[in-house]
Amino acid sequence: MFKHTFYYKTDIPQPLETIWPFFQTNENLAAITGFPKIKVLGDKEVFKGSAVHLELNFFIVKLNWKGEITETADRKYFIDEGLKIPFPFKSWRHVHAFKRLNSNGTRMIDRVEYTSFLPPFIVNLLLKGMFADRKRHLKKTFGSF
Amino acid sequence: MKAKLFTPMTFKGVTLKNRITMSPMCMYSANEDGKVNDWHMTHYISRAVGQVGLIMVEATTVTRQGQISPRDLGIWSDEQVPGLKKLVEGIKAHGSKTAIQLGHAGRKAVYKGEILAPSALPFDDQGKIPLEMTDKDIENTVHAFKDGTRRAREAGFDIIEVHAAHGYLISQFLSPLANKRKDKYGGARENRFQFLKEVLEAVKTEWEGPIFVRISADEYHSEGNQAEDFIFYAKEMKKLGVDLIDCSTGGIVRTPINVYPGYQISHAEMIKRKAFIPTGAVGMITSGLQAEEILQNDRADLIFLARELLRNPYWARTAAEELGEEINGPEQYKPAW
Repeated sequence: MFKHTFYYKTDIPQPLETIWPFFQTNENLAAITGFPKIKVLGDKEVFKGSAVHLELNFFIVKLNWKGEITETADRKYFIDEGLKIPFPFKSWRHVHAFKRLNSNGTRMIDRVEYTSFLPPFIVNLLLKGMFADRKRHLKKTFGSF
Repeated sequence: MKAKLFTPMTFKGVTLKNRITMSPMCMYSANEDGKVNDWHMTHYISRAVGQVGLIMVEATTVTRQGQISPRDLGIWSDEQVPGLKKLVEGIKAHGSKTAIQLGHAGRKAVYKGEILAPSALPFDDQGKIPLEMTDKDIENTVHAFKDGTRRAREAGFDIIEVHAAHGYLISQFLSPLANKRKDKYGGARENRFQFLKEVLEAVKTEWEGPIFVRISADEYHSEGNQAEDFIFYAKEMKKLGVDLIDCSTGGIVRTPINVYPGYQISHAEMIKRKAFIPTGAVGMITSGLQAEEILQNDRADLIFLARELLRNPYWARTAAEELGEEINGPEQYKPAW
């Protein structure tokens, strides 16, 4: 079993007041994730205790992801933790942190603490690809600096 | 940097794909049953095809007695729900979110029987003299807003807008020009706000989604509500969970209004800055550049377009071109967009 913490940073040229509410809906999180395609089966909104129940579509196979929002602090961060998650993950704790850069900019920092059956150099490649794709979607939606 | 006009905005889990909102406009096209007909389907859905982020259905009355005209859409009966549901589905199919403006015309109602208002004062010399509402009338009307909200929910709308502008019933309660009551609904502004407060509380018993309120933020009269009154109302609304104040003006008394490009924007800006609540700007906004200026300077959060969308249902495309943005149109229109 491998244990690792993965970080990813995304700067968005929109104020925190716009970005924070955008990330308070699981549907938007799904909309900006290109691969795997995500279908929201659980709660629509992000709040403490809400169910993160997703169907991940890898084209050849569909996997279910079950988790929960365990913590949220207004306009600062929220945390989702995996409860029943697919291979290669054994555990998943994802801190979505938000920081005001200036009146017109927001920095998102994703910190994923995971344990997996595959070594980090492989898992991180997957995560990096996923977050980079999300960054592209965010750029399309909100522009870039 | 991406034009702000084409960035999303989220209210209580409802994300609008851009800041373009179709302002509620009376179409005077329903039959006496107040039901959605072919006209409404074509009219609203074509603006959704035109990539408007939020389509707000016209002032829809919560009681027959409160109709602005006998040809308004109504939401006073469960029989009106299927038509509204079909309309909502038609709009959503094109990626727009849906809102409905719930209203009651009060002393400005066009209705054969008795009409109601906070005080027995007609709108003008030609106006019918309304009955001063009793406590029971107020209770029934608040309940009608609650029932209208439930029907809007059943129809699948994303957002409710309460119509508290243009001299209609709620606007009459708010204004010292139309409200001369001596009870808890009249006198000080706290009391004049009481009716709207009760309406919003009733709406919230049926609705967890976003709530907008349209106000007339300028009554164009020295004895009417002034800026500080509207800031007070906006702060109170914020406390009650209102998500956005849609800032229009006028209609409480008959008076000429000096209309020029963007003539109501300063009110949206004032409310946003002083009450710290998102606002919608409306009134002679016609170009993408004008809309972008409003948003980039944080004068308002949504752009409500009215007549401009009657002239050009594809205004979003026109504005995108003007601002150098590319937007996704309907697949079928791609060769031309």
